[in-house]
Amino acid sequence: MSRWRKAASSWMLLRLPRQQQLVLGQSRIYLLPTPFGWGLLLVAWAVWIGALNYAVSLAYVLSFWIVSLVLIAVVLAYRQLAGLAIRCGAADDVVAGSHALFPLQLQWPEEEPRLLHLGWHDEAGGMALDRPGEVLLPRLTLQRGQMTIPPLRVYSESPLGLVRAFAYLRLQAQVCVYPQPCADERAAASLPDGGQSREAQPVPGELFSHLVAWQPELGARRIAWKAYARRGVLLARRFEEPQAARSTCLLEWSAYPAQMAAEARLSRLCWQLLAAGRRGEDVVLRLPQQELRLTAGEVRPGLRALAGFGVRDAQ
Amino acid sequence: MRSEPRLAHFAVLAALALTVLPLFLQLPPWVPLLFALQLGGRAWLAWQDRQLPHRVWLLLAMIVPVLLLWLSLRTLVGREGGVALLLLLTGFKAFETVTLRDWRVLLGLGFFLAATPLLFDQSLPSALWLLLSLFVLTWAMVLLAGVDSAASPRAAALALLYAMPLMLLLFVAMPRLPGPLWSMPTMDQRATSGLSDSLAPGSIGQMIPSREPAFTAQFRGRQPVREQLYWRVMVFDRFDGARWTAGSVPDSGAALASGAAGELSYSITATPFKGALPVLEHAVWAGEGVQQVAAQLLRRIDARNEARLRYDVRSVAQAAYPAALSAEQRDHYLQLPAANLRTRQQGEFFGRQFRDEAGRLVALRAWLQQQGLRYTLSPPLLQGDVVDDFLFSSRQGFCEHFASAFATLARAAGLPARIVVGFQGGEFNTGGQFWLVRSSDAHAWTEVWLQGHWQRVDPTALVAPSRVVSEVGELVPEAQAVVPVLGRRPPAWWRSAHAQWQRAGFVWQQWVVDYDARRQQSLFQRLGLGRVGVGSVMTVLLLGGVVLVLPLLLWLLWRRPPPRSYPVRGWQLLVLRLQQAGVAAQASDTPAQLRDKAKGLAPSLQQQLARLLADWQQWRYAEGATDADPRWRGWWWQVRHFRPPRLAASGFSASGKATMD
Repeated sequence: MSRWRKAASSWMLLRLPRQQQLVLGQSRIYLLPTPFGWGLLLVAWAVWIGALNYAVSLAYVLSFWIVSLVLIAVVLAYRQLAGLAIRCGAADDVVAGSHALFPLQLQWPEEEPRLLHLGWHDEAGGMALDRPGEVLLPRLTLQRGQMTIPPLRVYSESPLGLVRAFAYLRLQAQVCVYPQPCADERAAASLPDGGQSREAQPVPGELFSHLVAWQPELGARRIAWKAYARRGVLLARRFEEPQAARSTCLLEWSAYPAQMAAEARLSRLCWQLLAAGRRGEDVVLRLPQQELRLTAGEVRPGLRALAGFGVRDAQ
Repeated sequence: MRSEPRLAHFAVLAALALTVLPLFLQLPPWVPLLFALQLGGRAWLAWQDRQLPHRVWLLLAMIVPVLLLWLSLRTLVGREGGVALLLLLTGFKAFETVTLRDWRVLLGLGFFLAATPLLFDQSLPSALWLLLSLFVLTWAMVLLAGVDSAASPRAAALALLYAMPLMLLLFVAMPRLPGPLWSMPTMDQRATSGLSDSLAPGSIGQMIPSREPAFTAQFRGRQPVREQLYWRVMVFDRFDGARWTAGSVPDSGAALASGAAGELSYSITATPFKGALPVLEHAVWAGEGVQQVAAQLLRRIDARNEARLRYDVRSVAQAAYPAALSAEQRDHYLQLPAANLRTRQQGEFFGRQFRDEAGRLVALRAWLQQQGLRYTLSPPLLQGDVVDDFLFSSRQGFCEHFASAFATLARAAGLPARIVVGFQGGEFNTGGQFWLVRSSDAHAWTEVWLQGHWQRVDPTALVAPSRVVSEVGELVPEAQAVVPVLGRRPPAWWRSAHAQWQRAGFVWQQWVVDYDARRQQSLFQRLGLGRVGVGSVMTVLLLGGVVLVLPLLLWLLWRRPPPRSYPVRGWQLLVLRLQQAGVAAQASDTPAQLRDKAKGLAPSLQQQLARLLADWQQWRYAEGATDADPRWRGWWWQVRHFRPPRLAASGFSASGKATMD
């Protein structure tokens, strides 16, 4: 792609609003002949010249039919995209350097045969789709942070390959990119059991402890149906584990040498956090201006905090 | 489901082969044959998934056929040479097609190749072939674009169909050039149906068995009778004892004045015969593109253009036209070579016997009639002095023998004479209201100058009068219409079908093949648009676009296929059918309810209904059932054929009686 085309397309993309879901219509679909389409027009021109010179009426028919075919291909290609509904589902968090998978749902009336290609605006080709449904489109993540879904391009040359209909889409979807874990040889500092910094707190576990008032966020699985049958009140079962058996891992921003770069620190913290999660330890994560207490295995908030540290958005 | 790319590749190769098939008739057969072999070889390589040959080998392999082509045609440009070369190059191009882009280039060449058979033949069959080629090419294009192979033929046909109105509009509206951009192609010299530029024994005889159409004529207003149809094409006035040729003495015949009574106005569509065009004797006015020249002949204005032409003429059908003859011309028309002594003596005898020229002509005709000549298409071969041999020994021949003998006799008798070659008669197509003149109608007759007029004398008519009043086929079995293969005289239905086919061909010729600059002009004038120019072309394109193309576009843009699936549509149709039969069915009923409500139907119908409902229930609610199940289509068709007759319910019969009374 030439520099000018790049500049033009990025300017065009910036003008597009980000949308949760969109249905392609005439204002979004662009139509251009493919090289094959231009080639066939050239053939039609050559046949026309021959018809003109040799006064062959049927060659006029052939020439005009080819031209009409190219023109009709414009409408047929437009129909491939028109009415296409696209939305992006929630993508799973990934680690920087791996591929984020964006679940894209494409819908159109089942009866219409369509053949589409869906891909990123800055990459050639794409995934071929010939029936409505969901596809997972992978995108390489380069930086940690919040990654917004890059602009998409959907195109179709079907059914004749003479004209390409394409549209650029800016959807509203984000994926959280964790820092790339970097092995940290140092043993993580652990907080002494029942330390002064906090009270002995019950920790969610697997052993049934007692009933509490049910709240929607607890989920239907926690409802104590027997108690409901008896008392007519929704109660939730609470599971707890004796906290004494586990240690708490302390991960600190300031635990690293002062000259270490922020990204390197985050990478090591991430590695430590994941390791603690695997060990099932409680974690206290201290970052500048924030401190997180994570109970066993629930490291996701910590990872998100690491991902979002100091940045708001990353492409 | 996407189609396999290899299928698309085979489709491209097949489309190319199909497209050039008619060229077998036009080119040296080895050229299309080699092309077909090249395509076959490429298909085999694709089938076996083999490596393509290296380009160097291709270049080397190309030299031999191109050289052969040069040796056999002596040219690599022009119509034959250019087409043959293009064919060979395309064949080699097939061996270096690898990527999708290459295949598309090859397909584009196929679209160009589709035009090449049209350079040779524009008849209705070749138009149908063009249609077939276009369909197969488009089908290959659709397959290359990756469309599912099962849906591809339909997609291709629909695309062509959608493109058709716009094509027709462009065909009518796009301006035509009155002449070629550069030199016209040289027509092939094989000319099976053409008249030759000299008359020797056998030159017309070989044309008569051919039922090939030569030209068509359409009369406006007054229709001619068969005996008037002497189509004049060429005049021969120099005789070397065996062969008549056109001499160089100009004829100063005065053109007939227009406006006489009994004028026939007609237009002819014909290919020039060595520049000469047929015209009914005798023309008084010639339309655009043609001109009357000496000896009452008609020629094309751009004489070197050998393409088919449609022109208007007016004629007065009569056997004589006035012409003054100078002494020099008179001598020219009396010249005779030393050969054919007996004939000359016979003529000179009449010259001495009858002082009066008119009486001499009558005597000559009478004498010829008494010679017991026989009209046959397969006369014995004439030896030595051909006229003598014919008149006094074999006495068998046809028009050219008669004309040649009579002209020799007349010249010997001192009457200036010459031979006219053309056509006589034709076949009237009642459906299309036109005359079709065939090669078999080729004819030669004599003109004798008498009292300031060139007087037509048809010696054939003297000997075999039926030649002029009926079709030549009645007289000569070889020229009869026969059913192909069976070789019998055709039955009536075959003849009428044949006439219909000819009519279609005539209409085709008139409205499609001959739609040139002049015809476009006259159509525009008839539509009240004036001259063909930027303004009028734009008007036609815009108006035609609004009327023809716009509705199609709107329909294409807003049409949505029926959103309901087969089970839903089928169910609604089933309920409708039951309602039509008088059953109080509702779309919201369950299958069991429907079965109960339909108790009044005949038992067989009830069984049928029960089976339909059972299938519906089973497939609709089975594990993993989808509406896309292919069985639904068959079920839907069964529902379509399920037509229970109306029940004789009490309410209906009462109202029926009321209306009966």
